[in-house]
Amino acid sequence: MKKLRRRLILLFFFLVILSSIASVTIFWMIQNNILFRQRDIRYVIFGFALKDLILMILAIAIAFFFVLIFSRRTASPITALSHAATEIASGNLDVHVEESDRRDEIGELERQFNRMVRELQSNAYLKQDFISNVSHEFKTPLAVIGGYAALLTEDGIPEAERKEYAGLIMAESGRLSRLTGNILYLSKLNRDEIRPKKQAFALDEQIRQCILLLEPKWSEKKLRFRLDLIPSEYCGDPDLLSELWINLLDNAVKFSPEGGTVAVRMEPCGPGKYRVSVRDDGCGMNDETRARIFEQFYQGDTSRKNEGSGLGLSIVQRILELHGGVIDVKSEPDKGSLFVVSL
Amino acid sequence: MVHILLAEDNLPYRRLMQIHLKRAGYEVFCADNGEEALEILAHESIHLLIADIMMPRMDGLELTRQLRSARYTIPILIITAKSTLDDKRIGFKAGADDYMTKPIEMDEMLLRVEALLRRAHIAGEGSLTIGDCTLSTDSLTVSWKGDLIPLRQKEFLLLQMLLSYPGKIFTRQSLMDEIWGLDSETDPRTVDVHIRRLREKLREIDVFEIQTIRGLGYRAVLTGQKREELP
Repeated sequence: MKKLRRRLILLFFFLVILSSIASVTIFWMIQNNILFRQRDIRYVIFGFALKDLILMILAIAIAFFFVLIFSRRTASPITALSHAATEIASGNLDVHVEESDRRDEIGELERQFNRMVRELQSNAYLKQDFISNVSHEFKTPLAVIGGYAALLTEDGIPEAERKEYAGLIMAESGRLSRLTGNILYLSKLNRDEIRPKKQAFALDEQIRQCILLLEPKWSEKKLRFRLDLIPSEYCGDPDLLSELWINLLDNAVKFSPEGGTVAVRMEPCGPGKYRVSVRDDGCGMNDETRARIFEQFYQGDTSRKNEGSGLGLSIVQRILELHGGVIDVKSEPDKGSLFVVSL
Repeated sequence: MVHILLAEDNLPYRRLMQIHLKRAGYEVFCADNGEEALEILAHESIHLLIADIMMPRMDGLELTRQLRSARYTIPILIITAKSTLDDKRIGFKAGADDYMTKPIEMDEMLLRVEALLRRAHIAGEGSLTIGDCTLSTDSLTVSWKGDLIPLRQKEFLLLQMLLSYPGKIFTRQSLMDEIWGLDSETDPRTVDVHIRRLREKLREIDVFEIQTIRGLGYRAVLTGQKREELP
């Protein structure tokens, strides 16, 4: 607030001087009979000579006059901002303040205010999009669950069908709970105040542990892992990066055929930087799918017959963003996919 | 008969867990909150506690802490909806032995209960038996069909670790951390050397084998339930 304060102090000083000069001038004029004849103003009121009283009042009036003029310059932008803020608080984001070209704090406040309104507006659109996507993703599984549950209450359904319906209910509930977990995680990541930890840890061991975490899934599919990891120390957030590997590896496992191979390679690409690639020999993706995989809720196969939530790669991307890393995808239909992460 | 105490305030969920545990052959005691759990523990012999964190009157973490400070060493499995890694750390710090986040697969819960009981049993009995093979913690020996095979301390601990969780893959680093300690300066290749020695010394034993999983680590496999060899 230095500029404004300085301005106000100067203003005050200026006013004091001005009033003093004005008072002295008038006094002098009275003394020298220019304005009033001294003889006329000899009355005393409350122990003050009338002329002293008039002097005081004139000084105050002049000061007041100048204050009125200069305060408008300071106060009116604040009034405008106050009005705008009230509008926003009541839900109307479609406001902005006139930006004067002032170079002091008030000018800065005006500019930042408008910027804040733009941020809020963009957040609101994103939230709306997100919410409508989410409710869409929930509606179908819920409809499936409700529908099959209703069928189950009927009498005389053959055992095999009963089991089928129950199985579908289980699968869809599973999908929903994974979905909620991922959504919560992603929105936690998307909050701007998130600050990833900076810890040194062994990246290769972390990847191994993540592979082991998924062991039930890949051993069921009889997948083999070809690992090419180097002992490596990386500085970052181990919890977030763990999620990243799990998501990538889970995708690789999910899309690999039975008996397939997943190859994970690591190579250094600078001090403290590594390139990790995950290759699977699954069904691959066409150009269209490949372009859209990082979109939230996007799944190449819209029939949703697998158990994914479509959010895995959004999570991966966000975590990489927080670490200043990038990801690259190469894939062709039936030729598997290669994801390369540079940290 | 193994007694398991279930502390969970959500009734339908608790009923679900109870059904599965009963089917698996355990006797189940139920508590609504930490205080009730302590009551039950005072009157019944309990072998394992499954506790939720969010409970009224006394939560799962407080229950765990109180049990640990009263020197109760029973295995404690925390099953809760709180899923962040920080929550897990707090849980383990309080003294829990394992941590699962809802929603859980009942099968997995049973497997973990089994593993915890087995570990506690080994710790309690001081020995682990597989078929004709017995590992004795006190003497650090393996006895096979009556013959005693002496092992060095680290070799024994390594074998015991692998056999406590048959089928589970351990990375060299995690074996190093567990057996040599986190601050150890030793190379993970030491693990390889020890495994080779173990295989040498135990080559007569046919109830289990130690497999190498390339790139990942090692695991012990019981030959009764042979798993696919991974190259």
